[in-house]
Amino acid sequence: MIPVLLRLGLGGLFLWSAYDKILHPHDFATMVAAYQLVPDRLVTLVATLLPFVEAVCGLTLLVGFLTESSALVLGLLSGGFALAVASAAARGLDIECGCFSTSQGGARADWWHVALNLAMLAAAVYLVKNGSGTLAVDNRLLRPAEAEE
Amino acid sequence: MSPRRRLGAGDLLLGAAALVLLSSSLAFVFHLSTPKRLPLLAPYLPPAPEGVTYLSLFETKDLFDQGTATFVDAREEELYRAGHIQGAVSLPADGREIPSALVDTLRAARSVVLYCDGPTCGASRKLAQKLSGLGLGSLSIFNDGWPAWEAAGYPAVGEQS
Repeated sequence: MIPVLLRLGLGGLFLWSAYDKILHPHDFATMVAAYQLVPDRLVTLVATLLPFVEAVCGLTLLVGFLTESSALVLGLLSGGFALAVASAAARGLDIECGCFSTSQGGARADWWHVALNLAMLAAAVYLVKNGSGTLAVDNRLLRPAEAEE
Repeated sequence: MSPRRRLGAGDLLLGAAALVLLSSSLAFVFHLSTPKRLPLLAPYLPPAPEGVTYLSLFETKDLFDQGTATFVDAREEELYRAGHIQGAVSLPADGREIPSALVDTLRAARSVVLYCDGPTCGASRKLAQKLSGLGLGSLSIFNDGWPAWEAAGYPAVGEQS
């Protein structure tokens, strides 16, 4: 049951946060730029691609399709976000996190969000190692022979 | 639950690559289909706050030479002291209440030009929103800000110059 709960939590979280970023690309790009980590010319590319990677992998993780690969991608994102937010907090940048929402005056990039992203990373690592568990598309599509064993 | 075959590293990476490829394709389709699309591979410039215009270096210098604009430095006071556009007043965007005498001065000005440390510094936009909230009109932002002004060798005042 644990993998299913982790899939619902992690996949749902990414899907939900991607939705807001896709709807408000300019707000999200402003937030990406504020971290001052991405070269100026690449800010819009990152802001265009990132929400879709989150959305697609969030959805596939949620339904348990290519579970390990989805978890790998989301784990890499969570780890990267943790580093980005930590670097912002360490540099004393008082900026919006841009983690789960693009609304103005939202959550700040602080150590709490570093911890949250590390927890998400841990959940992703668990899923990469242990697979989808029950109630997953993978069980039907990719391993029909094993399911009969 | 069915026994699980261990997934090879190759399959794992292949799946991840497929997911990223699919996401990128969707992102580009969305990019092409939405009016809110971001300009790709260009330095990102957030949209100006409502009623505020962006000025280039040369437009700013023109205004400066006409002598009709009031320049406002939105950076920290420390940076202002180190060097600022000649005649600019210091008004840090994160600062406390704006002194009412200064508000009156700005209200009387023909035009007000805000600047900070470049296109991504954000302080000018923040301050512009504050000032237009106070009912000030004819606000503009000199986007390339202090670094561009200093590099051009235009009139400046400060401890460093």
